[in-house]
Amino acid sequence: MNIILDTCTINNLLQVDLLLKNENCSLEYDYLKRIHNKFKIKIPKKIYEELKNTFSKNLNNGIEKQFVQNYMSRYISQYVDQVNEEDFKSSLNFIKITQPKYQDEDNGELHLTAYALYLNRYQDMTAFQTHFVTDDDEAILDFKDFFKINFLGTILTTIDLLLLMSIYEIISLNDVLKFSYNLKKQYSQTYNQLIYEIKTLQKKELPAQEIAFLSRLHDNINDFNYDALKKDREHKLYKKIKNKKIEIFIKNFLNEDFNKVTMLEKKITEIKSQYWDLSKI
Amino acid sequence: MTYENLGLKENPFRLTPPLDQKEIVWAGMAEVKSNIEKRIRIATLTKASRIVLNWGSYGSGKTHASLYYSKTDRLQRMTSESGVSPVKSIKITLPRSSNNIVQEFFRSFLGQYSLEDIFADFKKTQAEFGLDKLELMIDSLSNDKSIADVLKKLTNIESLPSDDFNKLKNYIHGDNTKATLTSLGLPLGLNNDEQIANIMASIISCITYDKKLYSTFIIWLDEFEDIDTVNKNLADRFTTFLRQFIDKTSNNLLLFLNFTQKTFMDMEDLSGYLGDALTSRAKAKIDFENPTLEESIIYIHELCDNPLFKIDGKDFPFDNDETIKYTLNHIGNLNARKINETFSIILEMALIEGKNKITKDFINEITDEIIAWEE
Repeated sequence: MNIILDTCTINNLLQVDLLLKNENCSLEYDYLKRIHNKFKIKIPKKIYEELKNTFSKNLNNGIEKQFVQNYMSRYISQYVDQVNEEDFKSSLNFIKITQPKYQDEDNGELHLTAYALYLNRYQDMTAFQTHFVTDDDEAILDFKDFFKINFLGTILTTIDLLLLMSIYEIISLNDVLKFSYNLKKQYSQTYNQLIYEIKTLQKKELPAQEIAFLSRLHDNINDFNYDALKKDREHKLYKKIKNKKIEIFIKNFLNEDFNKVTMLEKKITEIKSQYWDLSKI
Repeated sequence: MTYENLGLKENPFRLTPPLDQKEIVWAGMAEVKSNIEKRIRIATLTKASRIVLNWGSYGSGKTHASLYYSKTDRLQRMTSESGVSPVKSIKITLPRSSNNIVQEFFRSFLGQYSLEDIFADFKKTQAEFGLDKLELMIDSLSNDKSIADVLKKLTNIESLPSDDFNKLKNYIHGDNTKATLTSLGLPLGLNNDEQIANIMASIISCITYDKKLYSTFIIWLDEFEDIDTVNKNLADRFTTFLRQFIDKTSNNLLLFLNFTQKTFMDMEDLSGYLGDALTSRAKAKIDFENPTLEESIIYIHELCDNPLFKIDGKDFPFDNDETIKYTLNHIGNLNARKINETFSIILEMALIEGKNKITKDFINEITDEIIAWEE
């Protein structure tokens, strides 16, 4: 069984797992290694390139960055499959024909789907051997029918993959839930930081109107009222209260897609209510 | 600024705590107050340590409650009315700025309950039970020989000022240089989280022994929801420490955990952070619900009528309750923070405009200035 991983999944599996103690960085569970020992992780070259460009985005310091960089070149590079270029290209072209939206695209999800087809048809005539793991809602929606009609395998999220590992007792269900909460924390980081920054500013001795304005910002952020928030940024008091941090955080907040937090919350609820484990007997 | 024209000594709708924190006042929120006091009463009368969750939206008054019950003489009045020993109550904000989150928490603890105070309380405990019994307590309650040695060193100091006391103070604040350790005759520095849990637990257990000196030790852990802005390792470390600390302090501790609901953080997430062991202990929950219109009016009246703010013989600053109601109906969801901000702005505007009475017409003139105003 091949497990092919999207860039976001690899980043999530590494970032949520990092342990920093006394300037020493390590991985608590090393999920990738455990997955690879049980199944087989494979990625096309494109994913490795994307990783190199994105791995540091959520990392806090140089030690973590250095660690992940080393991990990537030492372990993840081994998962990169040296494909037959011609066959792979033919597979890629077929996807582009069936998915016109990706005609001019060249992203990881497109390459992964092409890679799944390549493995199942060009390499071996097999079915259901390749499982695509991604947390990108759009990609899931775009490619799920293609996977189905070609019997390539399933499309899973990172949490699905961990649940699968719990069936094989590689990790516990509790570990899966812990990971889910930590991933949620990471997904909602922009929101959390912004709320915290506003609260911190409010503790200062400011004129009543500025404090009240900060409360209004707080409420509009908490309600995800983007229109009101955009108006707030035009308000005369915004210039008085804003600092560099607030400005960056608000921009990030307005550009962030928090749908993945909601999806994750839904998943956690589903796991708790519908996923069978010993405690449900 | 003088609010004399409005019959007030100062602005009752404070946005930051007063310099003299004994002057923190409680207004309205009668149900919350009664629930908190019920929990405190139970704690002063029973032995088992407990966790109570203070749950509410932003601005619902949780921090204010922590300050009111740790800085004013309210607890003293409560305990003397019910004839139990006093309560020691401190407020600590969730540490999040340093890499040593447990050490930072311990420093905040000592900032609120200094080693000098601890020394004095140990002396009182000694006077109550005798030195032998106190040392026996230390041995059996600390469960850790090195911590017992530290606390016995403290009890062996006759009086302050003392060189040994100063060294001990440095030691407790993290000084583990060889010179300090040798001169105190202690083998190791106080540098792991479990030892910090041990020393805090031992101190609390000794001074609340038999509920003699203190009936209860209260810690208000404020802004616990910010645990989601602390990195995973530190958050794990802190909750592990908290678990150890609570396990080790099985008697006479009451921990209020202030938790502000956020969009992506609810009860489920909190259990995720605290772990099953702590969540199952936090059986009681106090809801800081948003006040109704009527409750808000009572809140405003009680604040303005408080002798700390009201000038004797002068009238209420508003012409009637209709004006207050009209304002409250135009500021969306009500909470204490929003009411304080809105009414601070109104009082300031009245001051600038030289008004003696705040009327509906005046409110209508200044709606642009009232940030929370909604048509």
